[in-house]
Amino acid sequence: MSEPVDLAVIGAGPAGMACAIAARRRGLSVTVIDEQPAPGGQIWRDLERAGRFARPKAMYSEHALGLRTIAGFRACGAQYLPDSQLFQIEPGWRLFVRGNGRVRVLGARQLVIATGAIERPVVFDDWTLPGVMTVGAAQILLKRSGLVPSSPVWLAGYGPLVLLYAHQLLAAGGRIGGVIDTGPAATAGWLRPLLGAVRHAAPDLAKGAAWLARLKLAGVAVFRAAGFAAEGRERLEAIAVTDRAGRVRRFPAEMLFVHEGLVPRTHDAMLAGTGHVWDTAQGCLVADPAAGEDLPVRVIGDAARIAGARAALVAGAHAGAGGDGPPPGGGHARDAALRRFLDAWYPPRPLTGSLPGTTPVCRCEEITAAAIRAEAVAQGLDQIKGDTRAGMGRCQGRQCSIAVAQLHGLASGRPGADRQTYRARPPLKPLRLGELAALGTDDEPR
Amino acid sequence: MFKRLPGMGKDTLTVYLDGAAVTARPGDCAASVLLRHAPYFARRSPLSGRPRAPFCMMGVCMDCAAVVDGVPSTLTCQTVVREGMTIERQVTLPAVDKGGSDV
Amino acid sequence: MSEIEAEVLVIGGGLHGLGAALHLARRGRRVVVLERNWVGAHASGASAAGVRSLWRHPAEIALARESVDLWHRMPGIVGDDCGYVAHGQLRLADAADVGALEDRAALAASLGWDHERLVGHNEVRRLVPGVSPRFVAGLHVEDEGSADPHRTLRAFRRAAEAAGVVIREGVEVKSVTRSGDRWSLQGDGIRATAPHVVNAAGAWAGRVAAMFGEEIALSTKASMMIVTERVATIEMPVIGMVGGSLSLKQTTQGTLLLGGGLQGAYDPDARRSEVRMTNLARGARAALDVLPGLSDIVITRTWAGVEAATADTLPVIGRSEVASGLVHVFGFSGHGFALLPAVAPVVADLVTGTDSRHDLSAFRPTRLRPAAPAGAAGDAPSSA
Repeated sequence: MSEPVDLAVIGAGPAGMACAIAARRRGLSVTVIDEQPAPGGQIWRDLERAGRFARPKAMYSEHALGLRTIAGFRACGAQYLPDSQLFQIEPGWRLFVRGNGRVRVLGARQLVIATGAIERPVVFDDWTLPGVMTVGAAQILLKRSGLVPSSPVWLAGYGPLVLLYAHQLLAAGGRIGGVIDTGPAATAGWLRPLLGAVRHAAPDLAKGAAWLARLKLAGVAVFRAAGFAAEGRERLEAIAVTDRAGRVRRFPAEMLFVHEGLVPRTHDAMLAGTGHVWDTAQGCLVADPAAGEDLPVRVIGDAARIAGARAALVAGAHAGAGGDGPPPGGGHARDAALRRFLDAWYPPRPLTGSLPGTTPVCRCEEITAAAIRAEAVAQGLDQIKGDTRAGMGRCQGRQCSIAVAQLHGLASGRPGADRQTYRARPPLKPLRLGELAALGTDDEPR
Repeated sequence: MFKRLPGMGKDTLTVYLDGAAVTARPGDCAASVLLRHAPYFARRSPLSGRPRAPFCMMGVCMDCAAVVDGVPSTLTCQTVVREGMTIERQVTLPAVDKGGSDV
Repeated sequence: MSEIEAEVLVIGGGLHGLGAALHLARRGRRVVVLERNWVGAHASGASAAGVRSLWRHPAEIALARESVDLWHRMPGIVGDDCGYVAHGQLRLADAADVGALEDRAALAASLGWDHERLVGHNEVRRLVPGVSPRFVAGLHVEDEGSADPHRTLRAFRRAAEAAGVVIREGVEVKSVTRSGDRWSLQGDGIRATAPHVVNAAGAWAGRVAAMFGEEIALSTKASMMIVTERVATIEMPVIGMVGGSLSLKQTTQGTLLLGGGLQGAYDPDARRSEVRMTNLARGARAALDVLPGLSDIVITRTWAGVEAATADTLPVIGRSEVASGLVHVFGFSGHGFALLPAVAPVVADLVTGTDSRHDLSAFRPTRLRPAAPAGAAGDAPSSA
C-alpha cells in the first residue's frame, strides 16, 4: 500500500470538490475517488464535455458555477482518481478501489464521504418492464447524449425534478402523454416554509412556477392518482391509473419516467460505520448529525441529507477547512429556505397496503410484495433477507430496502420497523473474482 | 424509442449491437445504444427470463448489465462507447469453463 | 416478568439448538428455545452448508457418515429436503501434495472407513470441467455434497414448532440461578425454569457455560464467504484443496459460494464480524487456481460470520460435570452444519439419560477447561 494521504474524499460532486479545494488550501494531501470519468457528480455530470455544446449546457442547473467549480477542483492539486469505484472501507482508513483495469488499496488518515443522492425508488407493478425508467435516467440521456423519447412520454410521481424534466423535454421538442401526480397533500404548516422560500429563495420558486406554467400551457393532462400500474409483456404497453374514487383508466404508453424525490446514498457511509437516524421531514435515513468524533469520517452534502448543490458546496468547503459539525449559520440560507419549503410541499409518500401482492419489490431477486408481507414476524430486514432473498441481489438492496422496510412496518405493526435498512456489506460495487484475486499480498493488514 | 437532438456535435463512431453495426456519438454510454434499438432491453433475468432494460442510468439498479467486448455482466450505463465496441444482450448465464479475459 | 415453565430449555436458536429441541419434543418433552436475536441469525444463517465427511478429524467421522445418510432422508425427518444435493465432495492436490492425500487415505482405511476414494488426473478432470491441469489427484466422496442453510433453518423450525416446541426470539439469558432441582434463566422480561438446559449458544456458549459456573475455553472465528452472480450450471462436487483455504461450490440458486475459513475481524462489542478484503483475496486466488475460467465472474456480496472455535476444532457435546442437568452442544469451529441430523438425537439422548451408541469422549467439555494439561486437547490433525 502506498503512503497514506491526509484526506480521502469519496465523490467529486459539489460537496466533494469543494472539500478537496478547501483541504488543499490548508496544505493537506488529498485524494479524490470518483466513480465518474470526470468531475461534476450527478448535477454537473459530464458538464466539461457536454458543456461545449450550447443546447445541453443550457439544460444544466447553474452550469457557470459548475464549470468554475470543476476548473477550481482540477487546479487545486488534489490527486484525482476518475473511473474509480470504492468497493470496501476498512479501519485505518484502508480504501479498496477498482477501476482502469486494476485494484488497489489507498490509505488515508481522514475520510470524507460525499457520495450524493439516489432517486427514491418508486415501487409499483410492474416497474421492471423495459420502457420504465427514472426521470433522472431520462435527464441523463437528454443532457449527455441529446436523446429525446420519440413517442409521447408519461411522467409519474412528484417533485421539482419532474417539473424540470417536463420543461426540458417540451423545450427539446418532446411530447408528454400525461402526468400522473402521486404527491401527498403538503405537510400541515407549509405556509411558514413557503413564506421563508419567498423571502430567501424567490428565484428558485419562480423557476418552479415557470416549469409548472409551461406544463399547463402545453395542455398536458395531469391526473391526481391514488395509484398506477405499468402493463405489458416484453415492454411497457399501457398504464393503468387509479383515481381517488377508485376508478381505473387505461392509456397506451411506451415510456414511463418516474420520480418521487431524492434520498441520500448511504451505503458507503454505513460501511464506514457512521451512524444514521430517521429524518421525518424527508422520510429517509440521514447521517446522524449528533454522531460523535469516534471515527475520523465525515459525511457531507446530499449523502448526509438532501439539501441541494449550493448547500453541498458550503458543507464541502467547511469540512475541507477542518470545521466540525454543520457549517456556521446552518449553511446556505437560500438553499436551507428552499429545502424547508420543498420538504413541506413535497413530503415523502409512504407505501400503502394497496400495493398489489404481485408487485416485484426486490428487482434483483424478483421477490414480491406478498412474499415480504408474509414475513410479518421477522425481527428486521436482515432476517427478511435471509428468509426471502430480498436484498441479496446485485444492487445490494439499494432499490428495495425502503419499500421492504415500509411493507414490513405495515405488516408487523411494530413501531420503527419501517425505518430500518439492511446491513451494509462489501463490495459496494460489483467486483470480478479476477480483480479481487489481483489484490497484492504487499497490502497485508498491519 | 429515442431520437437524437441536433447540436450535439458531428463526430460519430461505429459499435456492434448483437452483431449489427450501429452508430453512436463520443460520450454516449453503451446503455443508450441499447435503448435506441429494438427490442430495447439489455438482458433477460436469469430467474424469470423477463427482459430488463437500463433503469437508473447511475450504476445503482444493475439492470443494464450486458456483454461488452465479450465480457458478461458489464454495466452498460457506466461504459462509454469506443470505436468497434461489441455489445450483446445478455440472455444466457455466464459460462465458467473458458479462460478469463484481462481485467 | 413473564414466567415460563418447561422440561427443557434450549439456549440458542441456531440449527443445533433447533435440532435438539425437535428430537426432545418428539420424545414428549415440553421444550422452549430462548434465542437472543432471531433463529439462524448467526453461524447457521451464514453457513456454507457443506455436508461433508471428507477429510474430517477421525473423532468426527462416525457422526459425519451417519449424518450424510440422514441428509438423504431429510424429507422423512423434517418434511423438506432442505435443498440437499449430493454432487460429491472432492479435495484436490497438486503434485507436491499428493503425499498428503495418500497419507489421509491410509489413515481412513486404518480406521475402517472406505468412503474416501483416491482419484487420479483423468478422474479429476472428469469431475471438475475446466479444472486447472495443476491438480493431478484428489480424494473424493461421492454421496455427500451441500444443502441450503436458510431452507434447512425454515424446515427445522417448522418441524420443531409442529412438534410443540415454543421458540422465543429476542430473549437473551442474562442470569442463571438454581431453585431446587430446576434451573431459572432470566433476561428480557422472561423467567424460564426447567430441570434440563441445552447450551447451544454458538459463539457465546462459553459465556453461557460461565453463568452455570463452568469454564470452557472458546474462541471466535470470523470465517469469510464470497457469493457470486448466477452462472451456467457446472456439474461438479464441492471442491476443497490440500494446503489451501478453499471451499467452492455452486448453490441451487446457481450462484457460486466460496468459503474456506479465511478470517475476517470479529468485533466483540458489536457482536458481529467484518470482512478483511486483503485476506479474502487469497480465497479468490485459490478459486482461480482451480478454475481459471472464473476470472470474469462478478462477486455480488461478501460477509464474515461469527462461529465458536475450540482449540482442537472439535465440538463440545456432552453433559456438564459442573452443572447438573446442563448439556452442551456447540463449538463446531466452522463445520457443524453437516453434523446436524446425527448430533441432534445424541443431544436428546444426553438430556433424557439414554446412552448414546456414539463415543463422545473426544467432545467432552472438560478437555477445554482452561487449567487442563496440554495432552487433553487431542493429537489428531485439524480439519479445514
